[in-house]
Amino acid sequence: MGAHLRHDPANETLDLGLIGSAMRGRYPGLVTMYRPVESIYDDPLLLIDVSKPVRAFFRAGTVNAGGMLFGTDKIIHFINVGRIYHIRYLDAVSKGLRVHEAKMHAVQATAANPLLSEDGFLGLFTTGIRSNGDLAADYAGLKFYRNLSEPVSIGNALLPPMLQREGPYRRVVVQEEDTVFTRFVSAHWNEVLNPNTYLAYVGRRVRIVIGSRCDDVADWFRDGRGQPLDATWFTTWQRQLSTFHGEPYGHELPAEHPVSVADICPAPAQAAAVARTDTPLWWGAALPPRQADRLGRNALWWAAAAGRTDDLELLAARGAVLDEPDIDGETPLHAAVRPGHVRMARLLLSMGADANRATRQGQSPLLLAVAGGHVELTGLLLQAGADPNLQDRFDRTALQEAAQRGDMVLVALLLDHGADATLASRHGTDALQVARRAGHGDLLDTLRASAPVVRKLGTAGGQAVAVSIPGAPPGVDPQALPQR
Amino acid sequence: MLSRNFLAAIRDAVAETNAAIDAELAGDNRPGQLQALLSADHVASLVWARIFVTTPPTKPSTWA
Repeated sequence: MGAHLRHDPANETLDLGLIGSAMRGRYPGLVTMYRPVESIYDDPLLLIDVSKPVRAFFRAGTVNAGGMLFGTDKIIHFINVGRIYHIRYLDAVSKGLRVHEAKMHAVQATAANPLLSEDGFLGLFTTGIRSNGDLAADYAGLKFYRNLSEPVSIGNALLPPMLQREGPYRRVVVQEEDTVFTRFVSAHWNEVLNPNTYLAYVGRRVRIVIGSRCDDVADWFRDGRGQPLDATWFTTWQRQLSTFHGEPYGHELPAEHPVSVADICPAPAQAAAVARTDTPLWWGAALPPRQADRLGRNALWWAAAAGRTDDLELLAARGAVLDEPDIDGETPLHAAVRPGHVRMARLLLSMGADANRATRQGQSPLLLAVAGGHVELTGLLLQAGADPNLQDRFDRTALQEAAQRGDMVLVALLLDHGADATLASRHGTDALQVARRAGHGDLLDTLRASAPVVRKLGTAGGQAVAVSIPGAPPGVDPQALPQR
Repeated sequence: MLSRNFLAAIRDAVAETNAAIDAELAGDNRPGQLQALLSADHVASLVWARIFVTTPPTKPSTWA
């Protein structure tokens, strides 16, 4: 089986890895991939695709990478069809075409291929589906392979080449380990936001299935106040995603009544109620104080996320639990901190909310506050006893987040409250290295000066083991601590 | 995680390419071979091959 897995990166194999015991062990309690019992495509595809009865057991699941939800099949498109695009792109460049012409050539030449095209054997012909999300992943793959040797743009961002020439050799200069793949992921890959085109009878069936899942869509897609988003919002996304930040990638969608959430799902009932009564309703308002929704969030949680302090006091008086976490382990305090609700966070802390409670990813409220650049909230949490040296599941600290942002005020605030600049992430990078890599040279002296005299290395025989660090400030005696 | 794997693939591909260039420079310089090693296509093909072989989902043991 091992050899089969290594040489067959189809999304069925990919999905097996995502739900395997190794992944579950690595991320305990987390959903590493979501796959509904019933596939939206089951019925129509069983009619025309003979592989579907077998593949029904190994459907592409939904994953979240870089904050984007998409099917695992997009990864396969990115890796493989992206490379095919790249070969055609380089061929076109070698024949003298300009970059934008070569990109178009790559898209059009693959679209004309009877096997690989979304209109061809592996697309519309056998499945009845022409996936705009797949085409976007193909195009993003082209960007990735081009970016090895040349700068590419993703919207307004210009990504420098990942490799640099040094004489006849190449050197890897890309350092953002966590974004080498995810910076190419975009909302285009999400087929809810970027719907497909279908053969007529397949589309009719999918339209019915989408209609039966509008409540699920309302659950997944909400605005900053927790309100379900309306058709206008989905239509706006549809329009935006018809190009890749202004670049054509082969997108097609019927102008009239596409098979899409925007066209099929009615306006959410609660959003309609807001329009009717002009009453500022918020998601969760109808929940009894002690009851949670499908995401494990009670009314108090939603009140905190919406910054509604009046409702919070009312709900707390009715017995709502203050630190009740949702399915991701986020408490109402996390929910208040993430969008930067200072008054709400202050109220929660005054009522006894735990300032150090971590999410399932190990993120403390302080880490979220710093990551969001919320200076006042950071100070508030530190005053409330938040530990500046708590590390998340990847051993990242609040100080590293501040260094990544290049925010001197946050760095100084954390250091004043005892943040340890020598704590390293799982990748082995401490705050100093994070600042250096992010190009925030102005932080380096501050962080260097703050390095503590000793760095704990572990324990030996029940006694702490420590070493002195060269350049430690005077007046501190490393010998006072147990030595190796 | 995928980003880490992609970066590892890039590093491996570059190391292999540089080693091949070294060998080419040290030995008989075959016509066109050095140019091929220096091309964007060569390094991209190696990156693709490594991602294809080592992408975590295709080799679950690396996910731990």
